[in-house]
Amino acid sequence: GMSHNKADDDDQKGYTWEAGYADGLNIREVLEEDEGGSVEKAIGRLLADARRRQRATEKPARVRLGIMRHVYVVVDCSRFMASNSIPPSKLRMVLSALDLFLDKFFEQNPIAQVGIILCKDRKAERYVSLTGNIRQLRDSMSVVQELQCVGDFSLQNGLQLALTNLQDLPGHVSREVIVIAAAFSTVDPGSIFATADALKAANVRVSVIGIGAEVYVYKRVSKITGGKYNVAIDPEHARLLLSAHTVPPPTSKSVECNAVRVGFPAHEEIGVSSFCLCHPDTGPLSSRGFLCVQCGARHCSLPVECKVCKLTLVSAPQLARAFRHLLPLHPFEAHEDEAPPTSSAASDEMKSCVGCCCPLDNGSYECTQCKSSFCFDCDILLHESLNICPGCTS
Amino acid sequence: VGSCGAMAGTGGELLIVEHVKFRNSDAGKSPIGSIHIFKEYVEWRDATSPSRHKIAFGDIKGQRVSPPHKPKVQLQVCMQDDGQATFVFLRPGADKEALMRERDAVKETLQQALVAHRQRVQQMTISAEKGSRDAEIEAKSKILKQSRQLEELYKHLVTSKLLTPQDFWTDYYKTTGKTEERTGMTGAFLANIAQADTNGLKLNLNTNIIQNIFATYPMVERKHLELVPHEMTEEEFWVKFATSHYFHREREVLPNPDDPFADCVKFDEEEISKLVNGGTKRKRLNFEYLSDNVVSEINGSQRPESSSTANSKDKQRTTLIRRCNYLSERILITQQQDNAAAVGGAATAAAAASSSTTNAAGPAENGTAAAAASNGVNGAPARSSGYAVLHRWIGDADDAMESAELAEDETELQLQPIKVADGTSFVVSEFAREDADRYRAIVYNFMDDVTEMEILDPSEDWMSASPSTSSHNHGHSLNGKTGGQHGGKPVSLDPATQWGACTPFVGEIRVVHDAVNELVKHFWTCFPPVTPELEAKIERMEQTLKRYEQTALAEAEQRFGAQFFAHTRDMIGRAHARYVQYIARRKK
Repeated sequence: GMSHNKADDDDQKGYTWEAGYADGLNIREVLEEDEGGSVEKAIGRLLADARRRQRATEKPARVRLGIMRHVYVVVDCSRFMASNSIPPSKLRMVLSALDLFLDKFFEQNPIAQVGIILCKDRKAERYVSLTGNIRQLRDSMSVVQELQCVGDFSLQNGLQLALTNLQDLPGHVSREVIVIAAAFSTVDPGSIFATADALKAANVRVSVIGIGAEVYVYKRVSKITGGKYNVAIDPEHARLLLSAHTVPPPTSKSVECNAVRVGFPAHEEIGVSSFCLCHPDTGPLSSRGFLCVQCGARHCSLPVECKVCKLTLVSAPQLARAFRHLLPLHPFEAHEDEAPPTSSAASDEMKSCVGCCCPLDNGSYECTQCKSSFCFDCDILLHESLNICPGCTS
Repeated sequence: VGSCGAMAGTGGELLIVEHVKFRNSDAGKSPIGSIHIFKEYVEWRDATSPSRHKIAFGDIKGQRVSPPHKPKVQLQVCMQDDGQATFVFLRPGADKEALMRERDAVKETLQQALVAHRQRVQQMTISAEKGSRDAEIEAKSKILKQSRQLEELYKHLVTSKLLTPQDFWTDYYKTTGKTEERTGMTGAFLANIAQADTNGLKLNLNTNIIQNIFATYPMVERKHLELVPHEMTEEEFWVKFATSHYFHREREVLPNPDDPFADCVKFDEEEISKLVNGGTKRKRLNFEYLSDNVVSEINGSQRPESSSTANSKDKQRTTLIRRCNYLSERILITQQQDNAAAVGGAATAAAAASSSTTNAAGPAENGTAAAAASNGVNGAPARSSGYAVLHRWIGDADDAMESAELAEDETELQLQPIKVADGTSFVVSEFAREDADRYRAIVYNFMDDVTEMEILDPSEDWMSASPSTSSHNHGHSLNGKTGGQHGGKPVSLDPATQWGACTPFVGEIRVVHDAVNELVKHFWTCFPPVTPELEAKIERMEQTLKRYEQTALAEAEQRFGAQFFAHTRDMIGRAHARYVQYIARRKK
């Protein structure tokens, strides 16, 4: 229902609590306008803060993680996504952020699978089923158009569809949903909170990245299921928020932790005449491939889930990369906008980055163990991809 | 009704009224008899002769009554074919008032029966169109038509009884998981219906919006069934609706007596009062004790006209607020009914969850439709009082000590520690000299020799019948790819792997390979055999594989050459080995 607001056109006095509430929000401080009346600088500052916070957060070490991740990305394709308040359209922004995300995601999680669900006109459809094939995912997403964005957004239908597709997976798999929504409301056929409870009971973690403003129901659903809720205020922020999801989440107590059977087939020359499972229309692309260690079916690349016997086939380096998250690299100490800490002997010399030898003239990041200094780009590379400190290992 | 002499009959009649003359259009005399209204038809029976006149509801277009100033009290039933049947009410000793009451009782009963009948007909057409059973068969044949590979598989395995259709379709035909198409209703659907145009009124209506209106305001649906297409066209109905006082109701004035929606207003107000009297109950707060409780001021006890100080603008606003609140509650109630219908008898987790959040102490009060629809799956009655539905969904968890909105944003992550030995590192910092050299050589060779073109040799086309012309290239690409790993030595290529070179029958051979994959797949899905069905399936698949080896596979080997089926033999062999292992374990 609506509240009886006494502060309408014939009554100028507001309630005192209203003024107090507005003060508490610190609107003026958070979104400070500059002389021209623009809030761009304030937003830039917010972004830099967010980035700094994300960088500096210590990732938990020696903690059980959901490494075999099965993630459904639910993309809002309602009319609100066609809005050009973020040019050229919110949809374009989301698609390009998603593209970058997929790249990074599979690099960090080689044995994970991703599926795509699109929500338009209050319905939801499974656009791409769970797969480890990044090319298929990127190709499919590249043809989604603003013209297809119609109607209202139904969070419940999107989540229900994801639940139906995730609930029959083996218990040790990390079941995740990432919702990207521009709509500020949801039109559902039933109770969204009932669906949220069902998701929680099935150990599905739902995270939401909103675009534009905070929405109560997204916040609540992600809280109930143990996921994260953030609101992106511009394209770069959206990329930043999505990239936070490339890190495998800690598992909750209720998730089964069984030993998982995994096969390590050798990359061999296959002499016997055979067809591969990955190319149903043509045939194996080369005479080398992998034979499933259990059932003998042929595959061209790893990692893959064998279609015949459902065994997960990986190569040892890929598994190692997945498990690197168990011992994450500690955050470096930031020395931004100042000269890097110099040893007394080289006080006049401009120090250079230990990783790439570029001069460290605008800020450095120092490893707390070995005291090597790195530039901004090397810091990102080390923490997000390599997960090692070259200084410590040399 | 009893005083008029009308009664419900023992033969399933809804109503019987005696002393009714049937004025047949052609006959000279008009006999006196009785009207019997049944569920699907109305019948007039002659009191003196056995003749009867039966009118099926499907033939009835509408009813008309004689104006009050006419001396005779009559009811006329209009037929689809423009015929008419007129009945005169002539109970002896009854004055005109009583006769009119009798006649109106007949009209009402007939009207209601007609509406119910039309609803049933609608339901039947809808379900007939759906024809779920046929839809499945249609969908399956479509799937087979779209993929030649699947069609071949189906022919090869299912028609030759190697695989049951059930087994086959578990993987290829799924009704769930592709879409979710139940749609919700937005509260805004009323807003866009009517737009004032320069030429008059523009109506935006489609099936969806109409369905929404009917679901939210059942009175309007009733009116529609009554009036369309007998007294007015579809278009006329909606124009009347959009212009009716009922729809706008911005001012508290008496409705135009010609307005067919006049009684809808009364009905809604009654419903709103019921809701309001139920009140809203919050777990931790009780607004009733507040002296300046604006919510109750708007909703009810102080109706705008009773308050002398309220000006017209306030009255307008409160009316609007009441209507909006009622709309929200109606939409939520409708959703609840849909939910209950969709869930049916199956106790899914979602239903259990929703019924557990809706379950609350407190007796169900008289009133809203929610009571009827939302009995939880476990049979416990759901709360139905007041704005119960709206309230229920915003409710906090029972065990929360504080309101969810005011709670701290950050929650502690529950982390499960694992043992990783100290000093474990994923980095190998030291390599033996020769290893280091070897790895370096691999990387350099790889970067130098290989391009994408060489790895993917386009001439290596499996499905083409022409022999590969580029064994030279092939060797080179192999060379480049393996690079340092084999020290640059070319690997001898088994010509059997070049399908194109060896046989024109690749297509047929492929069908056999696909069939084996499918059969073997079904074998492997049985592990681990946790149920008796799976154990039975293991036996079944083992037999099937044996049979396949002896028949289709042996045949294919004969026709095309055994060397092309070595791989499939291997796969079947592995399955057999697993089976042997399984039997051995079971014996222990």
